[in-house]
Amino acid sequence: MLEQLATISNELLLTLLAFTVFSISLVSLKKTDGKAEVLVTAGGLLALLVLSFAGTMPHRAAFGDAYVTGPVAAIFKRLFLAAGILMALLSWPGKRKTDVAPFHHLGEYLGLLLLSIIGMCFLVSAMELALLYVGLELVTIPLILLVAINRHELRSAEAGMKYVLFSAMSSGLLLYGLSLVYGMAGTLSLAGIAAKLTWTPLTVMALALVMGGVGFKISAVPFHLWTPDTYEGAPVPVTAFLSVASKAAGFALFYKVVAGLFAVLGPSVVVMVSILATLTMTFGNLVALQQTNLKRFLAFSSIAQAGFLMIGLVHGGPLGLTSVVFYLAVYLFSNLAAFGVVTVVSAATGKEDMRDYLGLSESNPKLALVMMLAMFSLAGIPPLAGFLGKFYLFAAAAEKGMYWLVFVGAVNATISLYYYLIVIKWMYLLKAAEGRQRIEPIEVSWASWVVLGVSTVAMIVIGILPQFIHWAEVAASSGF
Amino acid sequence: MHPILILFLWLILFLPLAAAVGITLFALRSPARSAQLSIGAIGAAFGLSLALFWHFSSHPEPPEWYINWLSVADLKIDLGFRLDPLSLLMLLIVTGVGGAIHIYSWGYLRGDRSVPRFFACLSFFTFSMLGIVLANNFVQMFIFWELVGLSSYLLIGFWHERPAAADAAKKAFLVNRLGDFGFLIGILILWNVLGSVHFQTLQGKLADNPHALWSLTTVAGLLIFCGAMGKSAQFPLHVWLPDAMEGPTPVSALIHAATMVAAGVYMLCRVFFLFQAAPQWPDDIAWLQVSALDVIAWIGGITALLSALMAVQQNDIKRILAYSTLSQLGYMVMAVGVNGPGQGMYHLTTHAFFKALLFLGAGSVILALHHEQDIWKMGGLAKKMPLTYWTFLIGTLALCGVPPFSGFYSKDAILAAAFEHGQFVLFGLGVGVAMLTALYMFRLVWVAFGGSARSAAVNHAQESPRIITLPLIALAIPSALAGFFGIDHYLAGYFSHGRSAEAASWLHRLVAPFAQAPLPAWAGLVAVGVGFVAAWQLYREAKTDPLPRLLGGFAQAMRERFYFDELYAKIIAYTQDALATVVDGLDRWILAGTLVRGVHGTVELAGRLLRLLQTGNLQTYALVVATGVLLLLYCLIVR
Repeated sequence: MLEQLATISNELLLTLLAFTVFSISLVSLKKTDGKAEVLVTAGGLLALLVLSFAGTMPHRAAFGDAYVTGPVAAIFKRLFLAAGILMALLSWPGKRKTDVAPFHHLGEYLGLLLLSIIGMCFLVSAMELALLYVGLELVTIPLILLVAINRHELRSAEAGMKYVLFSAMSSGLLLYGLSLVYGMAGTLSLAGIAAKLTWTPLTVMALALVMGGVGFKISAVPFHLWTPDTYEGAPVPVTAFLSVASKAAGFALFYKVVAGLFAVLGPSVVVMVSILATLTMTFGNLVALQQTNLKRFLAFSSIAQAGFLMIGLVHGGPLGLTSVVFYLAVYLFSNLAAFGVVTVVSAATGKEDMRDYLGLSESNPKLALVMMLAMFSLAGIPPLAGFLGKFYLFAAAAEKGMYWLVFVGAVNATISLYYYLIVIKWMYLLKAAEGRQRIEPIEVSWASWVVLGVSTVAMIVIGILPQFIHWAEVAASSGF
Repeated sequence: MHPILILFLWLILFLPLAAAVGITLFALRSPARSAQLSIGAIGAAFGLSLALFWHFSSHPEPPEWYINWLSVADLKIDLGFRLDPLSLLMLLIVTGVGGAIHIYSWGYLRGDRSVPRFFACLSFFTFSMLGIVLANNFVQMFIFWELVGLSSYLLIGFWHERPAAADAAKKAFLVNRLGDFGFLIGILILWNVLGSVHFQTLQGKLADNPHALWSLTTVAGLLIFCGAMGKSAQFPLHVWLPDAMEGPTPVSALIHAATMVAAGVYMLCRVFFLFQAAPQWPDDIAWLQVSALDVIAWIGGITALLSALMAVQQNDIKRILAYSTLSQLGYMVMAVGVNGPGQGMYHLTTHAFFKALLFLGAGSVILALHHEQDIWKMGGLAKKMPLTYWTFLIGTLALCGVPPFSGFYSKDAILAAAFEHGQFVLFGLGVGVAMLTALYMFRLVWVAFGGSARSAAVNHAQESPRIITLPLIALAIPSALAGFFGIDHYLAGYFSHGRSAEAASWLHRLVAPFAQAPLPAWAGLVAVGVGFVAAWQLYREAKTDPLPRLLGGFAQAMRERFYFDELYAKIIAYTQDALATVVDGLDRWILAGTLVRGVHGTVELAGRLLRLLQTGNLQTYALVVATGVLLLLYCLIVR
């Protein structure tokens, strides 16, 4: 028993941390400014991240093989922890002019964040449907609350409402698909199901239903509709978290239930994913072209990015997994850098429109630089990490022989470059026009600087040093 | 390589980048700080390069160091440095001449509003150029190649509020992209056929089997040359370089002398092994039977001649120098084409010194005359600005190839190479260009510096401050003496694999050209003499330019640069018009008949649908999702 508990020590410690954070705000009700909670959350997550290299994520099965942390799962968990740290720091309550994040509820807010991370950790380790589903719901339900945490604000409440209804629907689809699978295979174990499934119309139907559920998580078109509304309405740090950690969890889910369960339908999965990837990239890009609200813009950009990631999914082997895991890491830091800047600016001025960023390079050169690098990385310009990430995704599809998909990806990468550059244009090139007030120099808290600095360094270092891709390669060759 | 040396290389490469980043982050409001950072970085890089040079001259070491950067299946791309005599020499040129230009810039741009931005771009440019120099494979080189394109765009368009500067920047970037396109395809061919992009591996493969590229040998070589054509502004892609004069004068000096345009020639020398195989064309066009080297030589020769002709009738002091650069680059490329990469690099080196000197001298004049650039509005400057005049004269003598100035030896080496290689037409062409060079340069000197003042501005002109004249002096010394440094032996040793043991005294070097290949040497000298006398006759006392009267329409054509820009503008306009007509026709006749209503309706409907989708109606969302699942199912089942 003890050994089994030791196997899940990462999740146990996370739970402990979550309840510590809840109790801090309970004990010091109304008196806290939230700084203690942020420090405990970020510090605790950092400690867990360090500990994960010292054995809190042992590669062993527990609970009758329902739970296993393989090398890939360990990478995913570290990404979740890292995203958690950065998001907690982004929520640092500095001097704020507007109430953009829930600073009167920081305890609950961070606690919920931790609960969601616990769900993600279970999700990537689950080797059995029941645990998997419980993990998934544990990811989603706290996120719903996080999205709607500014419940007095109409947009936030609407965003939460949409998210809850949509996730309910997609859970329904997923459960329907999984129950069909269970009915056919008679077991809950993922490996057991994969071994028993054969090609029948019913299996195909289950695949489509499951893909619908997974598509919600990764915002694949046409299951993406909640994304812009929810991203826009949620507090910015929550949006950042949704766009990176929750999406990463979605891709883990894909590998667990779509690629894992329906291995027998391999060719169909490839067709389906490549169609969805094409739709997702193209749609995300075309709509992103017209956005001026940065949160909405980043929402559509993240839809397009999910489309790029799906290119890697068509390659069933280790190279595909490598490329997806690597790109998720790259995307996490690039997107967090972009959202970090948006958070800082939005918190200080309440402005979220890219036209308000006019002349940012002169009033806030450092913020503008981080934003520019983030845009370059998302667009995939060398030597930033985004280039290497896209390179591997395309390489995976090319090795599979899907040259048309690589072509579609390349065209879309070009389109995306256009709109990422628009942001840079507003910041760097356009001169002040009449009527638009410039953003004053912003005082940025140390916590935000840590987030921006870490993300920026990561974007550059991951792109230049080759160790990171080798880690992903080594992990991917031994699987989840 | 020893770890310390590798550290040195990292520092040389990344110090300028660090300066650029540092300026952008911390010194955007402090011109002095930004200049210190930028100059300090390149100064340190120069010092380290000197140390490396000294070390390597006494301890030859394996010249490669790399780490694996990308590897997918068979494709392996390294991040590495290649340090051999070629890149060592180039490092010294880029950091040395570049350093002098950095210092000069601080004097030249003092008072400009955007000095920090300028130095940030300048450092970034240096970083990109050093990346090309140190690259050990095509991909790395291409990345830095593009970065040079980008940073030159930023520098040429530095005064972007002036439309001419913005246009020139755009033109430089686009024309370069045109060449780079061929370059990229060439790289892809090499990678596809030979399975590597690494210089040494490629060289080894081609040495083992000269026919390894099969029928693509010549095509690949020419495509690679396309890159050099863009960067080194060879005919017919030469049009961007004169326009690039719109940038600040130090930028012109940097681009023309030590960096950007040198990159093309440097690249040709770096991958010279690609061009040594016998010509082989794809079967369909096998009758062509020209070797890539011949094409290169002829393009170089034509560029040299055309631009020397154009230079004769320019009136803008910087433009004359710009066309002269084109012409000298033509020489270098021609040298590569007549199997003399060593001679090409030699000329590149001496040219870096004296052309930087000439540009900086021109800058000094322009500054003294408050941005007057027309030589016919100058005159008599020799007395007003003696230091500028004397250094400019040294640069002119070097450029024209008057012994014992450096330009004579390197130019003579090229002429001798053409002669030895049996390219007598090109040799004659080279001699003719030497004559024209003397003509347009002494025209410039006499009109601008000689005679009496032709405008009020000249009367108020004063010698430039120390910070501007010091770099001039620093560059005048190697411009005059570089012929005795033994650079030719150093390079000959590299290109013939095994260092030449000959250690000639400087006196021996002084007369070496006449002893070794007397005909080219005398021919060159006579040509310079003829040019000089012609300039003397025409411009010694001239108040206006006598040539248009003597030559009529031809002089007009020379002044109008043989109408290449107009031609290109026309071609582009015609292509656009033709495309537009085709599209218009398609639209009118094919689409309008039957499809337009359908398309229009569809787009309209799609637009409405999209808008509907994103208005936030949850029922619609649910419907779309359900439809999506059904469509997935349909796709899966139908397949």
